Amino acid sequence: MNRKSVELLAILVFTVLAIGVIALDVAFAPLRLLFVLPLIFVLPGYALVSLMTTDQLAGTDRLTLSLGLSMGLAVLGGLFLHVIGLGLQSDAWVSFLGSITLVAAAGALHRAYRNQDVATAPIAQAPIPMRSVGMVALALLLVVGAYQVARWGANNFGQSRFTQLWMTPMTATAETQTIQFGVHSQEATALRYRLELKVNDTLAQEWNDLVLAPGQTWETTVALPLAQMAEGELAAYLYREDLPATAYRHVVWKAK
Amino acid sequence: MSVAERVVEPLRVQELTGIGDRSALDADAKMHTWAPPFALLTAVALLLIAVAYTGSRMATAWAAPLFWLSYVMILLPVCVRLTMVQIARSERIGLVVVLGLGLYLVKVLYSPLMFTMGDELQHWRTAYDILQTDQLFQPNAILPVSPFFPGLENVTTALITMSGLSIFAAGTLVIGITRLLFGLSLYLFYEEVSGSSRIAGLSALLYMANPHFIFFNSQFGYEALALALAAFTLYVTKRRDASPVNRRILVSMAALFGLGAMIITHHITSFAVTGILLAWEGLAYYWRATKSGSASAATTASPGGIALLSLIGTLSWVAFVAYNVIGYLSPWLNGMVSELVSLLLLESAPRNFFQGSAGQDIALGLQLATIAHVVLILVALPFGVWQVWQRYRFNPMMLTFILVAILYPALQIARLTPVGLAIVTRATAIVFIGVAFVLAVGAVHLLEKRQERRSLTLGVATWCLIIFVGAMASVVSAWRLPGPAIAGNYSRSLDMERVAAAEWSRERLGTENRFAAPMEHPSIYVLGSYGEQRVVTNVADKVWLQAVYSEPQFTDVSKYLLRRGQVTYLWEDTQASKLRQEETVQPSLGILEAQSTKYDTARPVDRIFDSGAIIIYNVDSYNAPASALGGNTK
Repeated sequence: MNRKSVELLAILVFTVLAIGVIALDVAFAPLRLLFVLPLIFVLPGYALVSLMTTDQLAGTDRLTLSLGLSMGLAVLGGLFLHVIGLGLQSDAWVSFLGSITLVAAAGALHRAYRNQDVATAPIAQAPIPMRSVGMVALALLLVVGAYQVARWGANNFGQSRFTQLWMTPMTATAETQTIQFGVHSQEATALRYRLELKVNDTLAQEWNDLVLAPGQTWETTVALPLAQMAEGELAAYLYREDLPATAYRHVVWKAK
Repeated sequence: MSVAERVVEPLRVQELTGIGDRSALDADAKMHTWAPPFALLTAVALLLIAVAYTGSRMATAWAAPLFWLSYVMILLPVCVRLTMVQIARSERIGLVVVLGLGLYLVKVLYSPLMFTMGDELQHWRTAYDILQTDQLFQPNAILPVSPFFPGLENVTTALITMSGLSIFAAGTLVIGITRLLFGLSLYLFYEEVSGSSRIAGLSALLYMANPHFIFFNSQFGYEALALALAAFTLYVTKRRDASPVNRRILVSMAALFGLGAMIITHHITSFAVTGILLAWEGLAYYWRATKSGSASAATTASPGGIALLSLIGTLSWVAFVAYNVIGYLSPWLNGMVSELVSLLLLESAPRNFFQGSAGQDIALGLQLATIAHVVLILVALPFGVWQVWQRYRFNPMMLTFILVAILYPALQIARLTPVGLAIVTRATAIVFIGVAFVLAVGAVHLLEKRQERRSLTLGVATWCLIIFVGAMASVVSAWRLPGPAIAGNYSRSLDMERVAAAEWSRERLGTENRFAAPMEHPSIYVLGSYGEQRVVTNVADKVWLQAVYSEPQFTDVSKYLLRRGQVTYLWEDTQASKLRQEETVQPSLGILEAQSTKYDTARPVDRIFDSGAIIIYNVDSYNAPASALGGNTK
């Protein structure tokens, strides 16, 4: 068995495994990605290139043709799946890409067996020095490190700090209107708030000592008599303990 | 040997014909390559850029110098090596790939948590709709044309449905792989055309010095994928004629796949590539018709049926599927023409080149670098054109490169107007295919003529480096370095507060509510994407809601427009509001206060959400049939 046949057999086995991993909905995300990425971006094109030509291709040309054909297949495949009514879902995709890869690789393998006596010698490829492999591996590690540094920076610095206040009307009966109030903090540190509820500028209810850590949410529901609010308005004012004089946030609901 | 082939011969410094050229490949395999050390160096530079970005978010003074130092660190060795003569083909390819991916990662590190550019969010929405419905062509109000060019979303959603990745993670991976395909295809195309790995490497390098390569064409947008498919299509189309019969089926199929995929991915790229293929075919036809006696197969190679298929495919897609692209593009073209006419008639002043999007002045050094970028290209372009003409004028593809390259000076004129700038941003990616090749031929000719003098080699490498530095300098400052949201700065307007408000709307109000949002501010894209709301726009709904925002008072016109747009919620962004007021009224007149409270005093309008920068109002009362348009204001 020549090298080409081994390659094609490996593609067949890999594709079957990829179909299995996706069809069985394996939960381990890195494993799925390991199989899905080649199934979309490399294998269909590689199998088609192998089927269409018996010549030896330089690595760069083979890679480019494999990538380009695979990408083209994925782009046009979406349109095809839409047109035939299968929809762009996981099963349809894996059937489409998997079947193309399997058929093309099997055809190429069949031809490779048939023509193995006339197979051309492989193109000379210098062995890749271990030092180069090590440098590329180190480069990849550094890129992962750079990404982590960038994520850390984006998560911890330069982000806007804010507090959300909302008021959403919920159920209404003939006599009462239920309204939900909520406060969510994304400030840098834990803050102490005070929430005032006013009906027609008269204090109706108050919540003191609302302490919210970053990421924390406080919610409450209030049922108000409609008669109390006729032609008037309901307003909620949120104050920060460190800035008690000015309403930090406010929301208003008006009787219709 | 024909005349054309004879004159081309001297330039074939390091010929490698690619597929099947076994002796050349064998020789190449024995040469030492510096690509792995440069990959390592690039990775170190990327780590430093990540540190610089973090420094920028912390508003430190050292962030900008560190960023520039790291950027030069990525470029300098590649510029020097690709200018040199005695290096292996594999190293040139390796360097092109390392540089392409390295520059892409600069953008990835800029926004490592989520998509933050407006165009990315527009495509996020199209991808999201496909995932929700499993179907193409779902309406997208924030970019109505996007669902009809679903190539990018097809690939991305394929990855998402099978892997379970998020749209952000999948999109980032897709564009990264796209960048790999682009770098390889571009190099191989140039090599196929020139027959020289040196010209190919230098051309690919200079292409990457186009100002939009680093950020605009690295974003999760349809143009990024379409450009890679365009380069792939051009490469295999060129390869097709030179291929033996037994391989022609493969390359023809590759060309058709690339072409078809490109056509359904991006409109302008399809139009441009069709133009290139037709020009190439036309020139080849002319050459065959007039010089049939001396023409060889190599010099008269042409795209043939591929050009015709490109034309038919592009027109058919627009006519039968994506007809809204006409309405999408024509206002831009009309706007550019009318602005240019107005400029020529001295009715308006040219755009201020050196003012940031938030109106801030740009540092002198950056201004000089930007000028140097354009000037160095403009000065070298005639020399390159002359060299191509002298050596390759019998080759239709080369002449097509000249035709494309000479559009570059014309584009600089279009940059004088604001709308022209937006169009130039898109067109540069295509025009640079010709510009880069012409410049590379000129540079290689110069080096050969001077016997590869080391000082001149360094001079050419420095010239490349300055063009790269100028390209980065011409990028909007906020795209270079991340940081807190800046009012009026397009790419820095999207922060966590806006995203959180959009997500709140989705969770608390439900999806697909009809929202009014300030058109001039990118928060509209957050609302339409992460918020999954139906933003009412002029393009999709023919309702110009901007008047609601720009009127100093909440007038009857505002109410009429809200009703006409069937708007349920109104999103006010205080950043947009502040800018609007600065542009339209004098703060001293006291209108500012009226602007900020105009919705609060309108009787049936409820202020339901407040996070400081973002306020959401419920304006659904205006949709009620009994709603009187005149008497609702307090």
